[in-house]
Amino acid sequence: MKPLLEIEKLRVSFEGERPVNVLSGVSFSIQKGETLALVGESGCGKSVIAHAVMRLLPSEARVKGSVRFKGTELLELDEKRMSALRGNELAIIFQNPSHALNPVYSIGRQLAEPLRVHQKQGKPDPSQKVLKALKQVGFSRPEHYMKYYPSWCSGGMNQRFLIATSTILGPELLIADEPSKGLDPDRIKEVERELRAHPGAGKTALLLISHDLGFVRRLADKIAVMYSGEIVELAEAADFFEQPLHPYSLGLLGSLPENGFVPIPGSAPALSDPPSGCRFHPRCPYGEKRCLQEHPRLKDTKGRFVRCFLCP
Amino acid sequence: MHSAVKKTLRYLSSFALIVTLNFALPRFMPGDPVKNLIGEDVYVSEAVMEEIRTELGLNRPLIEQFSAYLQGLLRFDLGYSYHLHSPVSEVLQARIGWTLLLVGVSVVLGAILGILLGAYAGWKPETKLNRGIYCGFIAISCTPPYFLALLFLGIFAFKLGLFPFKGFYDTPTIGSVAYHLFLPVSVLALFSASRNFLVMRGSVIQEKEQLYALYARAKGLYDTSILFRHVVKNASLPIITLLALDFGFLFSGALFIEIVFSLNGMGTLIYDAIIGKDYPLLQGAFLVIALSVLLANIFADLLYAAVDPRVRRPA
Ligand SMILES: Nc1ncnc2c1ncn2[C@@H]1O[C@H](COP(=O)(O)OP(=O)(O)O)[C@@H](O)[C@H]1O
Ligand code: SF4
Ligand SMILES: [Mg+2]
Repeated sequence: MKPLLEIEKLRVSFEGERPVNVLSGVSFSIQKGETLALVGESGCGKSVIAHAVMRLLPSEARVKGSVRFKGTELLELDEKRMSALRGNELAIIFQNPSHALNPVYSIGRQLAEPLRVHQKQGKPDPSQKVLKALKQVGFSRPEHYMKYYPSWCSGGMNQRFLIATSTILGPELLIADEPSKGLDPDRIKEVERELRAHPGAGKTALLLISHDLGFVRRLADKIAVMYSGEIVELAEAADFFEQPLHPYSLGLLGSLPENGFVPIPGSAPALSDPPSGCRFHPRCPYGEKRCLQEHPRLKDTKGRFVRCFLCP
Repeated sequence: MHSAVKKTLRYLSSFALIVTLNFALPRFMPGDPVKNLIGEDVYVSEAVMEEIRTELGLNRPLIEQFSAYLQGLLRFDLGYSYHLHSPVSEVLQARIGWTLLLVGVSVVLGAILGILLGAYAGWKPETKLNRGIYCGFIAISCTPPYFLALLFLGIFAFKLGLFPFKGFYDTPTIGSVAYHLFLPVSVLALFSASRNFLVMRGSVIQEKEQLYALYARAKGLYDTSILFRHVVKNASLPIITLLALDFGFLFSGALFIEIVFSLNGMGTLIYDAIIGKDYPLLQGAFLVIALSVLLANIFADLLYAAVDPRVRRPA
């Protein structure tokens, strides 16, 4: 089956006084209705992938490679046609919900905006849909909150508004960037429910971005682990959690609370100056001599992909 | 609610300060307060001077004088102009309308023009057209309004003969008012627009980088619809503050422009009063101008509260 989203050799660098190569050849694909979780420590380039797919990177970003959505090459689409996809077939929930909402417009107006923009002719009253969307993300008195402004609401409420807005048209691909960041366990459970039960759910594919393996475990069909701008392991979720193969994946799992909170020693390298050889070698407990010199390739081992010399 | 109380107190104290200054200045200025209160170059006999002294109560204690002064204010009694032989309030009433018309129309036009052009210029600052407009408005904002007025008078009235040199003194009709006010309003509106433009342009450049603008794009909004449906309202908030701050500034600019165009508003009135040392008139004008600046600031505060939900609370 042809994938819904196909990313191939995606490279992103930022120009500036010291140019940084943030992504160095990322490839993965997502099938219709599938959930792929992109995990990795903060700063490894997850949000940059999300923004590259949405074509929302700032002008100083240089993007190479290919991003195909339903067979269309997004990187070559003009802004007009791209904006017809955004918010409609292709939607994103930003990392920082309180800042993503406009402080001077009411929630109701902002929620109705995708409807207003994408359903030009013969639109029924949008407020019914808005009310329904607010109900779905757990507001029992939606008509009350429609008149609210973001600054009157908590971060958790704003995040629900954002989820409702981005899913109101039932997109085919939804990107959720760190939806569990900074939330308490109860609220994380709710986010899980909201990501599963919005208007398009079922047919919507989800690109779930998180630094938290514990959170994605309950949602993901596939896991892609990123380290320093590249994918180091890509596997079916079930296989991955049963037996992670890459030393970094092992480390991530080991640092979960239920596995004893063992942190990975050291910290992620700066993207402006990645280590030679395997980028993980300064922190890898299994490193050998060639790990310092040679850069391992992402190899196919029994249906999963791992970037490590130890894997056959 | 708390900040509203604070603001009200602040406005009340400014009001009290303005009124007190207006009362105190002529009485504590060096020289005979009677002279200071009726103006120099007025030739009156000693007997009349004494009569005025008693009438104004200058020989009574200050407290009594102040309360008499306040009671006078409540009756819109701003004193008497011995030069024009008429109560100051009547003279001001006859003239202030024209000045308010000039300032009011110019402020509105300047706000619309400055906001619109500033919004476009900030949205795409790199285009040739926008860079040209930017340079033009910088030049205008650096030029004193009276000089701009002289320039306009020279070009459009003198060289091209499109507009009159002088104000109108016959019965006003809408046509003649528009004809005579066109150049002065253009000058003041351009000047006001230049200040709004510069603030708006910078504000849009800043606001368009905010996450909400990016999210608007992520929702499918295209190009200038992001500008007009999301950025402009946020970016105009500083304009409201600027308008209030600028009001007094524009008002004084208007006075000079009136003098250049010989319009019969407050400008020429104040000019003549200064030349003739007509202190009562100057004082009255000072009071009225100070109060209108205060009112403009109150209005801006209310407008801000209406536009920005962050300074409000849910009902
Ligand atoms: N506009 C930008 N200019 C320069 N560098 C950027 C820009 N945006 C992101 N980066 C860099 O890209 C790297 C990855 O960022 P990001 O994708 O946000 O990480 P995360 O995995 O935490 O989402 C960071 O090191 C950051 O410094
Ligand atoms: S290639 Fe070497 S350094 Fe890199 S993860 Fe594998 S063992 Fe560790
Ligand atoms: Mg991120």
